[in-house]
Amino acid sequence: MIAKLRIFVAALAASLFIGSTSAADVGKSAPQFTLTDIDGQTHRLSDFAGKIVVLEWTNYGCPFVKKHYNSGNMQALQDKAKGEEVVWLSICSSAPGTQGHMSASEWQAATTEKGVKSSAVLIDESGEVGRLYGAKVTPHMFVIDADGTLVYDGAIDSIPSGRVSDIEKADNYVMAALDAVMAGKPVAVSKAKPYGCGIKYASDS
Amino acid sequence: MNVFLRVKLLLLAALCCCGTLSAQSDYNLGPVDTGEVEAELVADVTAIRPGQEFQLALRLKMDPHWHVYWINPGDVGFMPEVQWELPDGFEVGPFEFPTPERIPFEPLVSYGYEGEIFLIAKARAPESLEAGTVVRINAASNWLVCEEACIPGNADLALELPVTESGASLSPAEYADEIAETRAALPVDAAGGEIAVEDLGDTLVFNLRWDGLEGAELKDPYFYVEQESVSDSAKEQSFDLAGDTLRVAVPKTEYFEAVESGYTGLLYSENGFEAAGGVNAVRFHVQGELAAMGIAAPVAAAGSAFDIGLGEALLYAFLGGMILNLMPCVFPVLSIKVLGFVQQSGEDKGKVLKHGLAFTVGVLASFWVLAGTLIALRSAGEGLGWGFQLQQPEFVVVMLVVMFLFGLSMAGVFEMGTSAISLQGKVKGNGLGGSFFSGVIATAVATPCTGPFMGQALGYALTLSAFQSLTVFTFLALGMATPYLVLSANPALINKLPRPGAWMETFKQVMSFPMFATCIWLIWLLGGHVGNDGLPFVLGGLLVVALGAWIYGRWSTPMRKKATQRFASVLAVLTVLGGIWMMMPREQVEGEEEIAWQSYSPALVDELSGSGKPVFVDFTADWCLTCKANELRLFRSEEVLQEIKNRDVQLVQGDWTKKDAVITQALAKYGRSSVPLYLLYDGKPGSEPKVLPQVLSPDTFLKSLDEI
Repeated sequence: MIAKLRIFVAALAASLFIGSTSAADVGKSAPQFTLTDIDGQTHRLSDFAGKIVVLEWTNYGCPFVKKHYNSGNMQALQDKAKGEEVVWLSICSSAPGTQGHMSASEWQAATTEKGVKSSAVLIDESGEVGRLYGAKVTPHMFVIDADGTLVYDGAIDSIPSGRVSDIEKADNYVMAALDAVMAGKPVAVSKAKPYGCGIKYASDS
Repeated sequence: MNVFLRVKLLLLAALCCCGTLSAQSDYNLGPVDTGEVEAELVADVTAIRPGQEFQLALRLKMDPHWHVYWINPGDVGFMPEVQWELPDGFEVGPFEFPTPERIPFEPLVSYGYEGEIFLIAKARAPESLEAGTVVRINAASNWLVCEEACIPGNADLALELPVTESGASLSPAEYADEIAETRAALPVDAAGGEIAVEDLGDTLVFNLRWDGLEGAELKDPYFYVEQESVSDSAKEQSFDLAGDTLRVAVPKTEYFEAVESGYTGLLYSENGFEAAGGVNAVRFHVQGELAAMGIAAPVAAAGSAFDIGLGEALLYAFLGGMILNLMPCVFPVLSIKVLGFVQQSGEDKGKVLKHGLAFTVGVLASFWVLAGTLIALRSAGEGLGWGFQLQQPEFVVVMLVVMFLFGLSMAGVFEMGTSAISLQGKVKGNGLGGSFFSGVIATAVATPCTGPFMGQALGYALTLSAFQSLTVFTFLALGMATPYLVLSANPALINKLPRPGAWMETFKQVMSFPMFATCIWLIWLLGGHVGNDGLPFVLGGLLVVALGAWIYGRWSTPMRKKATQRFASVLAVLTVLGGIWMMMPREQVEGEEEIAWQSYSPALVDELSGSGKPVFVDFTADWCLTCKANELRLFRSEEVLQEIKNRDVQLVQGDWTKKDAVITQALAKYGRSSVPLYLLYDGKPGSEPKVLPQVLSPDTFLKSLDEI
C-alpha cells in the first residue's frame, strides 16, 4: 500500500514535471521533500522551517563539480553558510549505475577526502526530488529563505566554464543570494541558467 | 661502459624526455586523440599562394554516443572554441557551425553533434607571402564532450602549409571533400526573410516570413534559437504555416532572458528547402514587424482603422490642434489675444513673441494635465480590469457616445461650455503670467469642442503607452499654439485673418459630419461584438442619447430660469446614461451564437471526460488576442464544426477575462500562467488530457481529434 502510494506520488511528481516548467518556482513556496542522507538519517525540508536552506545538486564525477570542489570554492561557500546558521543540503540524483552514484561508504570516503561541509548529503537515486525541483545539471543551486520561499534557482556563478581560473572573476550568485536574504533585501539575480553536466536521472518509467 | 658514459647517456635520455615533454605542450601537427575525441586542424588545400582565400577547419571526431555542442547548447553544454595563433598578415573568420541535432538526455535536450564534424572558418593568406616558405597555423582548441558523463577537452593543434606561386600541390587535401560537403550543407540565410517575435508569457511565437516558405512542405520542422537562455530545448514546438509565414510556438526556458537586440535562429526541415538550394536549415536574422506579417489579423483587423501609426497620429494631432482654433468658442480669441499681446508690448516685437511663448507654455501645460489625468484614469481602469482597446465593446460604446455628443454639439443641437471671450475677462494679470493663463483658458474652453481630428488622435492616444500618449497630446498643444506663435512673430498677419462671423458657425456644423462618420465606423466595430440582433440596442441607445442632448440644448441654456436649467441638466445626464446603458453589450448577446460552450468547472470536466465523448477545454479571455484569433480560425472552419458535430465533442470554455481563481489553478496545473490553454480529453475515464499548442490551427485540431 505504502509502496503503491510512493509510486503514485513519484508518477504524479514526474507528470507534474513533464506538464510544467517546474514545480519549483522562484517566489513561490519551495516544494517539500523527504530524503535519506549518506548516514542513513532521514531529513525533511520542513525540519528546517525558519532557517535559510541551500540545495546543491552534485555529482563528484562531473568536471564542473570538480572545478568548484578541487578549487575549494564549494567548501568555502559551505563553510560560510555554516557560520551563518544556513542549512546546506547536497543532493545527488544520479541513478544507480550512473556517474556520481556511490555506495554509503564511498560517499563517506569522498566527502571526508574533499572536506565537504554540508549539513547533510542526501541521496535521491529515484530522481524524484531532482525532477520536482527541475534540477538540470550539477552543480545546480537553489536557495530557500526562512519563510520557505524559493529565492534563487540556477547556476553557482556568472561564468559558465570548466576553468578554475574563472571562479575568481565570476560573481557568485549563491553567495549574493545568501547575503541578500540575510540582509532582508530582495535577491538581485534570482534565476540564471545553470551550467554543468546533465543530471543522470533514472529513466522515466 | 664506463661510469661517465652511463651518466652522459642518462643525461641525454633525461634531455630527450624533457624534450618530448615540452614538445607535448607545443602545438601538434596531425590528429590528437584525447580519449573520447580526436581533434585535428585541417584545411581544404595542401598548399597556398600569396593572397589566397582558403578554408580552415577544426575536425572533431567523437567516439560513438559522445557529442559536442552548437552555439546555443540547449539545456547543457558549451560550444567548442579556438584561439588562433596566426602568422603575420593571416586572417581567419569565425567558425561556421553546421545545423545541429537535438540530443536527448532525458529529461534534458541539448543541441549538438555526434560522429565527425568540421567547424569551418574562412581564412586568407597575405599577399606578402614568399613562395618556397612554409607557414604554420596554431590553434588552441577546447570543447566540452558529453555522453552520459561530460569531459572538458582541449588540444593544441597546428597545421603547416607550403607556399607556392600557384597554390597548386601534387596531392589533394585529405579532407577537402568533407570540408566542401560540410560547407554545402551549412544553413543558408533565408533571402529576404524576416523574423518577428510575440511574447505570450510562457511561450514565444516566432513569426518567420520568407518567400521560400510559400507552399513548402515541412517535415519534422524545428526552430533552433541561436541565443542561450531563451527556448526550452526539452519541450515540443508547434508550427503553423499560412502562406509565406510560419508561426512557431517555442516554450520559454525557466531561465528566460529577453534578447533586446532581436532573436535569430535556424529553421530546420528534414526534407530541405527548395528555395535555399535544398539545404535542410535556413537562418532568420533580419528583424521584421509583427504588424507587417498580419499577426492577430482576425480581431485586430476590426481595429485597424485606429492603426494609423504614431507618425500619422502626431500629424493628425497637430492638425487637430490647429483646427481647434477655428472652433467658434476659440477663434475670436485668436486675433483679440494676439492684438492684446501687441498692445501690452507696445509694438516691441521681442516682447510680443515672449507673450506668444508664454501662451504656448500655458496651452502645453494644460494639455499635459489633461493627458496626465487620462493616463491616470486609464491605469486606474486597467487595475479594475478595463482594457482601453477597441476589442473591448464597453470602451467602444463610450467612445461612440462621446463622438456622437461632439457631433450633436457641433451640429448645433446644444452648446457645450462657454465662449473664451467671456472667460477672458476673469483673467486679471496683464504680464506674461496673464498670457500663460490665457493659454490655459483657451485649452479649457477648447476641450469640449474638440475637432474630429482631435477625437481620432485622442482615441488613438488611449490605446498607447503613457509616453506615446503624452507625445500625441504635446503635438495637439503645439498645433493649437502654433497660430498664436506665428501671429505674435508677425503681428501684421492678423489683418489677413478672416473676421469672426457666421461662417464659423457653418464651419462648425460642417465639421459635425466627420464626427458622425466616425460614429458609423464605431457602430460597425460594435456590430462585430453584439451581432445583428444587438445593433438595434446600439442605435436605440444613440437615439436616447440624442434625446438627452436635445433636452440639454433646449432647456439648459442661460435664457432659462436657474431651476429649469438645473432640472434639465439632471434629466439630460440621466437620459444620456440611460442611452449608454441600453448600448452596453449584454452577456447573452456577446457570445458566439452557434457554439454550445459549457462553462468550465473542474467537476464538469471530470464528469464529461469520463463520458466517452471527446472533451475540448478552451481557456480563454476577451483581452487575449491569440485566443480570439485561434477561436475565430477554429470555429469558422466548416470542417471543424462538422467534426465537432460528428463526434459529439463536448466544448468547455474557461473564461479568464476576470482572472478567475479556479481557472488560474487549472492553468497552473499545466504549468501555465496565462491563456490560451487547450486541452483535449479522449473521453476514457481517468485518462489525462492532451495539451494542444497555443497557436492552434484547424488542421492541428482535427489531427489531434483523429489521434484519439
